[in-house]
Amino acid sequence: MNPARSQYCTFSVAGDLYGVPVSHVSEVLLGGELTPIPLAPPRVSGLLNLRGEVITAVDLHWLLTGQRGQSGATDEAAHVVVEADGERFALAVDRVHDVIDAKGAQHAPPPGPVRQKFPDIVGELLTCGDTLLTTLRVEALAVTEEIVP
Amino acid sequence: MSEDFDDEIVAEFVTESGELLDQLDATLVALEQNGGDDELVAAAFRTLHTIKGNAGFLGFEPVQRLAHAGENLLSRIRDRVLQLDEPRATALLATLDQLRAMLDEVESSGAVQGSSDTELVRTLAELTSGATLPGGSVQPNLSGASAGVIVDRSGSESAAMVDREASADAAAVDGQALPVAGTPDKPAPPSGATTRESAEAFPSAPGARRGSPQPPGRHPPRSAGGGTTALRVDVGLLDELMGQVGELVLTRNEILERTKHVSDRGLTNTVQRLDRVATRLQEGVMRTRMQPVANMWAKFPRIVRDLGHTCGKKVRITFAGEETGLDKALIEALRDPMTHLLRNAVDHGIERPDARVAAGKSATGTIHLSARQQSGRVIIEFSDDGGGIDLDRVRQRAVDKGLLTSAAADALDRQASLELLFSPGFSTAESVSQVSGRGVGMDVVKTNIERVGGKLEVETELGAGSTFRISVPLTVAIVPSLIARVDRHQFVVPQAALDEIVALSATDERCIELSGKSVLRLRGEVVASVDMRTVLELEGDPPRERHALVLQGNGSRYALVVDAIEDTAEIVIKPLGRLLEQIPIYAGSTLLPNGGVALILDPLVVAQRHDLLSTVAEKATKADDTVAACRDAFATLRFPGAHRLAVPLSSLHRVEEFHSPKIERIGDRPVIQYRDHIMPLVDFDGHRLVPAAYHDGEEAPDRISVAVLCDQDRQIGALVEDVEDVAEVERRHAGRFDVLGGSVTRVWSAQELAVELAPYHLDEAERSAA
Repeated sequence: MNPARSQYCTFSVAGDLYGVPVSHVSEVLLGGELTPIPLAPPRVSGLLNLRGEVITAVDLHWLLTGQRGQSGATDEAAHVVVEADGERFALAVDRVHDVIDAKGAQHAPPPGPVRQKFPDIVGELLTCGDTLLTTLRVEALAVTEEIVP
Repeated sequence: MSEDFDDEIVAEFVTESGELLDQLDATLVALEQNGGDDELVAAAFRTLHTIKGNAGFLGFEPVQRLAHAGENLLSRIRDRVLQLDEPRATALLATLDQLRAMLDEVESSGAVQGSSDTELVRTLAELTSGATLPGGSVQPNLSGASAGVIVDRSGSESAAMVDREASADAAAVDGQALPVAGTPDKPAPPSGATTRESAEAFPSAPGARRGSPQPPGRHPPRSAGGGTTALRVDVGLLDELMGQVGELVLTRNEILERTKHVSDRGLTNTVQRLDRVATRLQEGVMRTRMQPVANMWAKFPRIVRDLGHTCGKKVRITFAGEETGLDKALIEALRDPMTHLLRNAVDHGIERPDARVAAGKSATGTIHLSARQQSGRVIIEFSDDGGGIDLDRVRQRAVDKGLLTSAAADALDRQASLELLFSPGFSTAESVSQVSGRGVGMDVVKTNIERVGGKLEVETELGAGSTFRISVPLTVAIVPSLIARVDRHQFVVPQAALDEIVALSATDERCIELSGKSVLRLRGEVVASVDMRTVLELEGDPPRERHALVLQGNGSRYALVVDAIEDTAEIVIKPLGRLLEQIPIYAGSTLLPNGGVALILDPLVVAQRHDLLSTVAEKATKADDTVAACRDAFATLRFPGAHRLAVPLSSLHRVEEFHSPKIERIGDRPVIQYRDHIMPLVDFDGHRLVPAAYHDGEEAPDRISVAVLCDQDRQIGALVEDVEDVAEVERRHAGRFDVLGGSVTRVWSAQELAVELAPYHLDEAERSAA
């Protein structure tokens, strides 16, 4: 495994722990005021003003549970700003946790139901000690084809 | 005029050749260092060949001869008969230096003297024939020769310049100086062919210089310090800078907004300084993107010449205002539409020589292009002295094509008939020629011009020719916009397409359903409309009071109904990310002065997708209706003392409010300054206009409403209490009263109004005295 990819920025969405490689993460934004976009694809929760740059926010709640996330529902709600294919996106998450070094973690395919629903966005299931972590494939989060849950 | 064009071509040649030479420098140095790469040698050969060809074409024989000598040597190297050894590389680089000196001479004097290059040509010939020269002896001789060439003709100052050049070029030989041209992150394209393309993709340096506020003369091409006065800069970098400056301006606006009520003097001063600097910076960066329209026109004489030959017509083209500057993006956007208009003018506009002579005109037709800047816009006019547009034929054509019935066609007025030209699929050419008349075109031309916020108008006179008038904003980088709200969403609508804003009440009689479609009745005109809540698929109840944005596009007027108008703003367009760019009705996003994000609507796309644009047939009948209705559309002005006056809507320019107005006098007539003009102020006494009753020393009220009336481009301000209504009036007699809105109202036709306004016009002397 590529050592640069062994570190994951982890966050929780709907009670489960997910992670994206830190190499993709440019920053974490606590809160963030969203401008909703009529007619937008369902995975888009709105636009964010990131210090003068307008970036699209992706609703991970919707992608992972099929339910709309409540943006700003808690004080801990945050946006993880990631870069994929030269464009920056904000991933709306419930709470941001630590960066986990997954070196020596056990790799397994993600549980069946999750895998079937989102074959593209889910990477693998990592077991690092007590922590269970599902990795997400950043490139697949920002594509327009919708998977209807 | 044609002389100027020769200059233009020569300037292009100098610029392009300069670029080619810069690339050759690098190529030769690379070749010398890395040995024979066949591709590179072939590319170098082609490049020199291009310069030779162009020089030959323009008659710069010494350049041609020298380039030829260099090319000969390179061809032997390419064919592997000779090696590119150090003396040969040195001689070739010296050739480049000498060519540069010649180009400088061409640039400053328009010509190059002959016979000065023989020594270098001889050297090259010797090297080509295989004779070896001692490596050290070549260079000094050569640089001596190149400097000496200039001293002979242009005096010591030029010689000093060339010496500096020579030393700069010596650095290039060492491989330390790199070409400035081209994008910094991409290597210069090696082949001659790509080079030509890249030369076109960048603003030509002489052109860019001409676009600067103080166009420097043709002399001197170099600054006194020895450096170049013009730099070629990657356009992408300029775009990036422009974007950043746009951001800065928006940030400035935000700071101005937030500090409006702050009483900290130090802060206020700082903010004012920031304001000034940001404004100047914005103007400066905008100027760097300005190019003279001549850049767009440079190829036109050639097109006219070739097309004229193809069509068997004699055509000359003349130009005026070529130095008028226009944003680079607009130049690019207008290039194709302009070329299309030019082709049309030659193909359809100008008659054959025999027909022209028979009509008593000169056998040679003239196409005249002019550009000028006028109140923040650039007006480009395109006139020909050809046969003009036969409107009967246009209408017949439209009927033949099934675009409308012959009854509808007969009802069309002049303007509406001309509009037919811009209908999709319309072409008046009797036969489809290879030049134009493929039935694609004028509608696309118009759409492309409108897309950049421009307008296209036509005037024509049968037998005398046609004029196409294009008007575009100076820049597209910062877009004046309107911020509208629908539900809780803010949207930005560019003002360019906006015709008017109509306030609607909950039960507005003007909103009606017509065969399942919403329409808005405006002064007798029927305007297709759509509720933005429907467009955006929003639920919930709209507010009682709403607004309709009446917009213009593709020759139609249409209305978008929004919940509220929030503000106006100047915005910078930001691209939407890839998740949202698929939504066609959004043209981008922007940041608002309050830091929020708003989407930019593309109103034309909304109109297209919701079927708001009129078909040709609808336009025909509608135009007819509109003419009938407009003839009788009057605006009722209410004056102090309950006097009411109805004037034709077309004469009412707008209603302005002046806060703490400064009313001045010319003679005994009160005037006010309005948009850099002096506007006389009048009142209405129930029968006629009288000078507004302000006496010396009398204080004007805090706020006055002025109806700006127009007559022959002059503006007269009428002090009104209110503009009550816009209504249709049945006119029976001239100069009589009518009952409008339940009150007796004096109604004036345009002619009557003109008679009444005439005494209030300021004459030239008064205007200049003021």
